[in-house]
Amino acid sequence: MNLNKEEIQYYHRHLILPQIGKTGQQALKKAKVLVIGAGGLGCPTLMYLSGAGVGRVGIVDPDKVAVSNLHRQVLYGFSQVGEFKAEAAVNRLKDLNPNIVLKAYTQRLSPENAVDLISQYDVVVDATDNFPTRYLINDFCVYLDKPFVSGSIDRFQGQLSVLNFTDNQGNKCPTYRCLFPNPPAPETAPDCSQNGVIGVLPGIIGNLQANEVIKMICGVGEVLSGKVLMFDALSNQTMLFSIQRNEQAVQQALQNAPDFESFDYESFCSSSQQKINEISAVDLHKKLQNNEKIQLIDVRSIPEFQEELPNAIRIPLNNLQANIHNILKNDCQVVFYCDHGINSIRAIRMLPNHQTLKNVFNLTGGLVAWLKEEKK
Amino acid sequence: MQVNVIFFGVLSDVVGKNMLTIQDTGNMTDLKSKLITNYPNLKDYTYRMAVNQQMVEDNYLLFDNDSVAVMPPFAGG
Repeated sequence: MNLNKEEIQYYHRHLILPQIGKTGQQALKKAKVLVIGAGGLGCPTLMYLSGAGVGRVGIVDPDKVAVSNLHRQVLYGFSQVGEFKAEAAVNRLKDLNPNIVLKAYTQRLSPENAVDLISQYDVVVDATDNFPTRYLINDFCVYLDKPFVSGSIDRFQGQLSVLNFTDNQGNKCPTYRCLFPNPPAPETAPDCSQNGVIGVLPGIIGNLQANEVIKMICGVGEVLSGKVLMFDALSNQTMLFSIQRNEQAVQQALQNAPDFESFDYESFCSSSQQKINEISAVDLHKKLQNNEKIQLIDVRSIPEFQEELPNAIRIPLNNLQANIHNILKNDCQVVFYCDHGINSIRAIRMLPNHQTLKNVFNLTGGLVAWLKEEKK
Repeated sequence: MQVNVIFFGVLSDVVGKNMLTIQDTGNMTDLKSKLITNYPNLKDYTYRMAVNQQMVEDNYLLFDNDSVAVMPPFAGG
């Protein structure tokens, strides 16, 4: 993998680093990295991996650029709102570094396509925002023996680790399931759209992910394997925790191989103890059309979307406790909703005896699902 | 004896603070049950616990002034 004249100029500042130099730059050129998620973490990772000269960069993301993404997903601008993130990213990154090959995948990573996608790459970056995909990436990387760099964020804090890495003595290192064998109940682990996130945080963690990929490819420094880094943006505290490989947890990842396609990651990550009644946007639509008496309760404090359901009462989650007695005194059906259907689950869990309330429902997928249904 | 416990992410909301001092704990199981007695909502959460920056299992023996960290998986990206 020789470097041409243009590449020598482009990568000059790398080439004069003894730790990277010509050998490291050639290794980067030869490398193939799949970045899953082109959101908060994916944007900085993609920019720096592309700038660093990773020869082939794959980008998996089924989402389109939204206005509420821009404060942290600085790879995009207003002119890309509505475009597929993967495609918008490729267009921007081509301009950043024309010497590399970029490939956009606008489908969601699924058990059906994961083997095909992941097997084409050397290293995977987990820059996703949900647990079903995090476990899916883990299991397929274990199955296909690929290292992956996991990053995740919550408001002002970030988590980072290199997982399923094989060290230079041939030892297999910990996986995501060694760290967290079981996924959390969804309503106990809100994502950025529910909890908020300071815009610079994914910038910091995403760059650290890119840094780990580059170190791994160039064989320099100490790869963050067997350790988890926790970063707190408010205190600037960075802590490293060591983790052990847990063979039992690793085997769990492989228990469905090679019939992964039959494993339902969505239901694996939805809580087994959850006894909350769900109602789909389709069914709610039907009920309202049939003039069934339904009280709709909007628990959003600062809505992402301006739309509202007809005749809904707005009781933000933080005022709910004080207003609970007003909600459940009549015996009509009650449907709780929010933007994405997670905070409304938290609201229902706050109700006394929520497990025995037969006429209380959560709108699955929230307003987003409702608006999708309305468009049909 | 006492141990210092720090909480990350959503767990600091459940507990209402980032840091606590807990008295008279033997091993991690004791500590966990003490925490759940004081903060019953914790039992719904998934987390790992580390002692002196090493992830440990429930039977791990605690010593005076050990520093315990309780961390949940983060969803966001």
